[in-house]
Amino acid sequence: MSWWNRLTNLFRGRDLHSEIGEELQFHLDARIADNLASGMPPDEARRDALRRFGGQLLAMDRSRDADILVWIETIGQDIRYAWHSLRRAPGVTAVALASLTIAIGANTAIFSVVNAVLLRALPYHEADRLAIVWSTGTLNGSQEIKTSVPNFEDWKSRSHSFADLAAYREDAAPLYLATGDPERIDYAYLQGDLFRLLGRSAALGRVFTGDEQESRVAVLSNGLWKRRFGSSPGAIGQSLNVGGIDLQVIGVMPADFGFPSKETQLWTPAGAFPRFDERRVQRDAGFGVVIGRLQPNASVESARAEMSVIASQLAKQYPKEDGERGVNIVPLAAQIHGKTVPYMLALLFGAVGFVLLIACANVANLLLARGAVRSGEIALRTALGAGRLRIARQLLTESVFLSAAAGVLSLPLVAWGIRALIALAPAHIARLEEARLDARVLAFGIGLSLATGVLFGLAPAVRIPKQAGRSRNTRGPQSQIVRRLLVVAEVALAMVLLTGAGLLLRSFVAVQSVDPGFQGQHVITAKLRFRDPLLRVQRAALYREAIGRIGRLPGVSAVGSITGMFYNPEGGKFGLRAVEGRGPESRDRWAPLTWSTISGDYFQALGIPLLRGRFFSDRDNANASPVVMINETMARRYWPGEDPLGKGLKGFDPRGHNDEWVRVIGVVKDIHSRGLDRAPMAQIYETQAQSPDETEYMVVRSETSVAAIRDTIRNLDKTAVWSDVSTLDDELRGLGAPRRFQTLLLSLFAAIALALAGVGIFGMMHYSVAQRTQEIGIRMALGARPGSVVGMVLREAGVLVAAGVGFGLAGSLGLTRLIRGLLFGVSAGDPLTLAGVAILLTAIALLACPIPARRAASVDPMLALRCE
Amino acid sequence: MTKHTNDRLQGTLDLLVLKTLAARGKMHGYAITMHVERVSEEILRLEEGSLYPALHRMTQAGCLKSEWSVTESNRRARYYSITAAGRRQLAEEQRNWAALTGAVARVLQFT
Repeated sequence: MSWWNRLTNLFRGRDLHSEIGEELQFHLDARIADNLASGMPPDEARRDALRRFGGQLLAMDRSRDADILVWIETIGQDIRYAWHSLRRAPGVTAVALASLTIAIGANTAIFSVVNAVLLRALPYHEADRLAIVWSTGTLNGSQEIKTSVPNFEDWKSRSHSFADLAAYREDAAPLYLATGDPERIDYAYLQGDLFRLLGRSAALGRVFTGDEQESRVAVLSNGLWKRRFGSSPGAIGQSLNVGGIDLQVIGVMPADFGFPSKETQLWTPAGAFPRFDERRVQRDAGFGVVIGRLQPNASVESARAEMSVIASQLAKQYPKEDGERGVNIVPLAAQIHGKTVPYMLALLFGAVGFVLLIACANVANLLLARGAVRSGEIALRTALGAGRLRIARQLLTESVFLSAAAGVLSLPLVAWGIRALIALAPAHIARLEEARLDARVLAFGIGLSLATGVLFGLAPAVRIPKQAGRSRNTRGPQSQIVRRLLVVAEVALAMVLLTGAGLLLRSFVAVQSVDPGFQGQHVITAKLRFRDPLLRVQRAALYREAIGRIGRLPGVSAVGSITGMFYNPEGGKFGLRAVEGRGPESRDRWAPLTWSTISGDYFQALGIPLLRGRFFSDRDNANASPVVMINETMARRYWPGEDPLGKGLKGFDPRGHNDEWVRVIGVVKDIHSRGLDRAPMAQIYETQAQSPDETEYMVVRSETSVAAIRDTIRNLDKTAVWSDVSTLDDELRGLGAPRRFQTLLLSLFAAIALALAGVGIFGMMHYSVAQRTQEIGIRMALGARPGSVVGMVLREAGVLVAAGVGFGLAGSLGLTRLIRGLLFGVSAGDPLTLAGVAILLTAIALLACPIPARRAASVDPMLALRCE
Repeated sequence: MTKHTNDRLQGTLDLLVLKTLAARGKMHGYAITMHVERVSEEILRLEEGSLYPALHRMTQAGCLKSEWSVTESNRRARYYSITAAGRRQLAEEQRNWAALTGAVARVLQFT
């Protein structure tokens, strides 16, 4: 056993270690004192003492470091030493651990979501070769149009880029089983061999193939099977009715199968679709969304090129139906994620990345500061023969040990964070609820912890051994510069995050204060459907009767219904075919526009005021001339400065008996039907009596209970399905969920960043004062008053914060442009937000100063001078 | 105590330390260094960095015992003194040294 091992054996005990330090320090000090007594200058005296301590052992230690076995052996010692060293400074260690635990935990939790939603492969065979093939509308720039059955057949027979093509059509309708209440479900009609194309088979029973288009069969989702058949194998062969079609169950899918969405609960061949035979010859009626599996030698680009050639052939061949149809191919993963979810996750990941960088800067700073305090100990170890590399390695071990401990401590935080994220996140982020602390997330967490340890450990590992090479109380200005830069960087990063969060918060407040245009309090919303197939008039009569009966319930003040109340904010642009007394509308003037059908007292139930004209009445029936109500935006768009009442218009579908003019009878106030942060769009309201559409979305202004309404509906018709019951306020909240989620998380991360930056400034000032004790002592001995010493500390902090805020400002102006799309009622460079954030950071910096400043002011000049 | 048969230098350091402590009683490390320098009229200079490992090694081996005490200048220092085992070791080392120097002298006197 070498002397080093024996010596380090002694290092195991905390007391033993410090005793050795003390013993050797005593020796050095005694030598220096003797040297000084013999008339050596102080610098020379110190150098001589260290030199006499010997360089021979240094060389010995270095040669031992080259031996890998010893290297491994000493890692154990390094870790033990790290443990004692960290325990000796519990304050620093606790702050560093807390910062790192939060930062690593937040990063790992966000990663688990990114992993679940974006990174994991979709549960299909070679999912990266799957793509959605959309029809497009060259007319209005629509990128996602369903494809008609004849076009689908032609694509399939003409294209060579795809190994196979299939299509699906989503629908929602009441489901009736032999037992139990009817319920409304989402399901899909499948064209072609979709299951084989996806590479999935049934968990129980079997799936249907492309040859069974005419069979009346159904494959159930695992969820539906569990819920309605109690997971019984007896489900196979049972009969059910969905959307008025009788089907026989032939199979059940595995739990992870949810195509095209996790809400889809049943699959049936396209041949079961009502009057599908008519669809086979309707080239202009979009039917399904086409999905293809690319040939091994084809790419999305080559397929796109081939399909656009086919589309132009079809356009020539069928100019009337396909003249304005193009093709667009989107990889399946991109289609499922859309644009907003990856953007949102990138934003959050970026924000937690900032938090991690700030935490790293913070901990690096703490360790550097502690390195200054520890320089005596380090000098001693150097004197004992430890090489600079050896010390650097020891310090790096300490850092990685610290970050690894933080990584372990962050695990409960991660588990909790994942649950919170799933609970808080807006609905309908595909596969989000599958986020969990799995092997991949764990590996990420471990990797991140180690990388973090190296990142924040590098600066101390490089700097401290150098400092220690110098003597104890004269430290070079370089380390101060590094530490100041770290604090400036921290403040700048925090400033950027705070600005982003500030802008989102201001946007959020602005959105909250937007008047939706309706009064959502006490409005119950639900979907009402009756059993198909019913004649249109029968169904219309049932809806009318339902509205009448609900309206007579006590506590109900108004009842109405509409085809759908809220619209996708990204919806396409549309125009009118003709406006009376005017030339055709040019397409570049098209803008969002919707037609909805209403029934009953829809406007009264929502409290939407009538501005001009009248509401619909019983006289506006199928035999009367067609009439519509419009909103303000619609009136401004087509009749600016004119009275729209009595004016005629025509949409792209003919109305009335003979494509008559549709006349405006009333104007209502705008509502924000695409979300509060989107401008209202032009809306045209038809009455149910004159429209082919069903008004399944019910609105009931009521003080009564939902149960009373449900009973009324059930007594009206046994096949009625009253589903998706909610309140208008909740629906509105749901529309704002993505914004609330982003704002909440970004604000949380910004608050953490602010706290970390505050700790960073405090640490910097604290050690700065500790180091300058002598200087302060001299100043005070020369007559400086405590006030001016406090001023000196504040000035130093002020310069650091000002520099950080300056860089942060530049960074903010550059980076907040990235979130411009999320801002509402505030510009990316909003001076008020920037000023507010700058003031907040400065205030935090000043809050961090009083303790170090008081310490500085209370320095005893004599004591300080005696130090040297 | 392990033998340092192929490391005379180490043996020499041990010998010097043991002899110093046997002659002067309780001393701290720096005083040992000073004593050796003074008595050898500055010809022998201990490698101070290796002195402490040697002191600790010999303490572990039972040749020395150590205790914390206070110096004249009122500072804490660790004082070493020789044990019975240490005295036996010293005798052995001295015999070795005499044998070695005698052998070297004989070689040098050979003409």
